[in-house]
Amino acid sequence: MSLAAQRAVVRMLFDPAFAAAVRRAPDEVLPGVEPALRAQLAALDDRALRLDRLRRLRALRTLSEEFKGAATLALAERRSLAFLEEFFCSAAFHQSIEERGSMALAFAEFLAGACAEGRLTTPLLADVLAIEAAVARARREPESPSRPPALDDPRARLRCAAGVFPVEVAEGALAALQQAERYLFEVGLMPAVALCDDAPRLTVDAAAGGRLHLVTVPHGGQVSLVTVDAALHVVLRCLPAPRALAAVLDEARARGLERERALAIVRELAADEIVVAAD
Amino acid sequence: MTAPRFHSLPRLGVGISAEPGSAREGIDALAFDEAHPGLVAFVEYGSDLDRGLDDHVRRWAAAGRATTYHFLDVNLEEPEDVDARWLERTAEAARAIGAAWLCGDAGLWHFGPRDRGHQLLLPPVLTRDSAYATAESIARIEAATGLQVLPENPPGSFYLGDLHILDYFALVSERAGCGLLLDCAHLAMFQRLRGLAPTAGLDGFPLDRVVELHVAGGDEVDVDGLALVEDSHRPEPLADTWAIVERVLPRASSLRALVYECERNRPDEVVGNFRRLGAAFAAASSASSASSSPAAEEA
Repeated sequence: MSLAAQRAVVRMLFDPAFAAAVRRAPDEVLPGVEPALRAQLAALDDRALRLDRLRRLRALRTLSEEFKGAATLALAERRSLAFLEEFFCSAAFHQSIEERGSMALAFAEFLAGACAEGRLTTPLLADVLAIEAAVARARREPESPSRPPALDDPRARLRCAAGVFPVEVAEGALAALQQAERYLFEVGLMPAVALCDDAPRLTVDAAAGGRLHLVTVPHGGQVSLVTVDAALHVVLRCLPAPRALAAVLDEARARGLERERALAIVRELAADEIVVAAD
Repeated sequence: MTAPRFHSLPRLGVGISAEPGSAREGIDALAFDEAHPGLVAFVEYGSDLDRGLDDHVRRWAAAGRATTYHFLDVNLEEPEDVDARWLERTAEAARAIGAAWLCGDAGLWHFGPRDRGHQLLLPPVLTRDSAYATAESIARIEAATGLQVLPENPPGSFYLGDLHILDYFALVSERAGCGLLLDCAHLAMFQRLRGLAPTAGLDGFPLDRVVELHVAGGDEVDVDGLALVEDSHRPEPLADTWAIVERVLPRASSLRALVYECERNRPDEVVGNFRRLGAAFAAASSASSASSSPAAEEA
């Protein structure tokens, strides 16, 4: 029961509007917290919650380190720190606290929502975010023991190895990400330069181009992004969760890949330990 | 009730806190020891899996000096947070520097899965259920690592739950059979928030289970008229903190270590307090030894 109260505390610390709602209507807002603690939460002095006035900014700094490109492009478009701070009032943030989810992945969800709803419209931003979110997700995948799949049996169940995620983005996304990183490097040399009229400016002029197929590959605590061909990408997309080899090949065919070609790719991926047996 | 095991722990004396990179901008324990011999007996190294051990603590340990390992990344109040990877890697780090024990604030260091940048250390909710959960985590860590765990009372600008924080940790210790780390500066914060005298509740607290003390400076701050204390670790402890130290030291019969948390200050700012704490620790140790000698027991 105490953890339900702690989750409420976290939400109140990061979201003053939520804290105000708890004060106004604790029984409605915190039905899962036992009554005595609920009353104490509602009575918390707002000023005690504000002791650390940089809490949000420091949390955003950590998130922005992981979502360098997307956060930079978002700020460049909106020109408002308050826009990023809306994250702490978002459903994605609150849900991540209540469900013991990852704050970083919730941040990605918040930005993706803003792109989908048209609140962020910068070209390539959604693609840059897709790359960074895949890497963030791969980084958080728990390591798990794996063994080679039995590919002579169509019923054999397969899965992607831990941290392997296929991503399809516009070709220009990687260039846009690099341009954002270059800008951050230049400003980071002397942060006060941001005050100057002739400070380095963010220029994102990468063209969208065709489609680029990437896969995250974790190794030794790091995550690499590997460019792959479209056919291999199709096979990996057929494995969003553990499933039988036959089902993978059927879906690959539905996606336009001949069965023999798909099986050859599966064999290749299994040899590289990208696809493993699912228990 | 579980029988205490902490009597087997070594007596370390007065130590200094350290964190990854703290020696670069603050105090390097080896250099400090060379300049002021005898003031620092051990280093308490605080870290998490992400940052690991730094060169400073490795050099100190390589010189054969004593250490303890202070975790900054496990939610004792949340037993499911004590996962196999954390246990394995924390024990590995602690053993690499020869840590005499593990310790750390009991509460929440992060929310959800362990991750960087959560920017919080929340005290536990002061209820019996929470105390039992904390005791469960401690038992799990001790069983998996073979190292004893001393839970520490965390700082806070508010505390939920009806128990006094001393009663909470007495329950934890009784349930887990563990020793305790009493942070005198954090206790001073709690007492102020509850409108109590600095030493309130200590008479009924099992001081014989206190193995380690923390002493640190704090900043009195005003948030729109609300007086709070920030756990700043500046050189000078508040008067309330000293009052707690002076009350506890002579009565903590199992005390093994005292950490002055001052790692990010200038050496000349903390030498005086190291001398004061060293003298107080030595006096308390002498009194404790005398009272536990056969002659004293007969008397």
